[in-house]
Amino acid sequence: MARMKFLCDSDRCIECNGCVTACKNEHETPWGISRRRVVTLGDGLPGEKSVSVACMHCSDAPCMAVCPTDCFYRTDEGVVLHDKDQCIGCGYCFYACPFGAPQFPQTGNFGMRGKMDKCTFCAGGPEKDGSAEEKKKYGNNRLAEGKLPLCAEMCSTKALLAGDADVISEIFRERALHRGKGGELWGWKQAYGKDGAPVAKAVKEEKK
Amino acid sequence: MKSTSLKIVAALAAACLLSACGEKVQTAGDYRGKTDSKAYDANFGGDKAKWEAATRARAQNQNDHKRIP
Repeated sequence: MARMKFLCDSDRCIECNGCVTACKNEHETPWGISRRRVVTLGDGLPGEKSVSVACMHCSDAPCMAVCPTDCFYRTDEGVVLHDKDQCIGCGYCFYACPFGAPQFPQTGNFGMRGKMDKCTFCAGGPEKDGSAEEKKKYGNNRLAEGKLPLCAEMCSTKALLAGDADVISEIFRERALHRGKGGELWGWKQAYGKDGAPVAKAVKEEKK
Repeated sequence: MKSTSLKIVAALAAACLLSACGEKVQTAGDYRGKTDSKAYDANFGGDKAKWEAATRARAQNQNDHKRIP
């Protein structure tokens, strides 16, 4: 059984924000809603690292656990989706999510929140697949067409991978073999460098 | 005296062993929204294997070691 996941190769991401633009264009999300964003550590310094972040479709999703209206569900492919008709826009999921994935449209005055919007892994929502209503509420349903999320499919450096976890981890494994390294994809040293690395040095100097 | 201490030890052991039995389940509540169709229903005629094969093949487009031999 497929288990859909995202994997971002921080050695390849060039912070072009193409994934962000592709997502916004594909799903025609309203002003102020960005389902995906690129986070850069040590921005502007030599050795900076970028990573594209959206909903990670957690296997044990905290948003699901805290939702007071139980509007979240997980598909057979492991994609975490929600029913906007059930959502009350309370924002609990935003506080629970470690990735800041849930987005809320500012629909009125005084910071009034609309219904939550987040990355759907291009799998739409609980409306008829490919219908106008699904498109309006959740964006395009590419997964039902046998396609994968557009953010990953159009990534120019193929830093962002999306698909069945087994398949994309195999792609990454092959890549790491060719590269001759790969264990450093994630972790403190990759993000902040060793003691002598430029990012760590700059942080130290900033503290002085 | 001996039987009383044995009883106390047995009670303490039982309390330790059974302490987790009173815990409430902490899993998320059941989904209360509309039911969603399967990803392979609309365009793949409900053929899950066909849909999985299509997405798996599509994922290989991301593998530039395959695209450029």
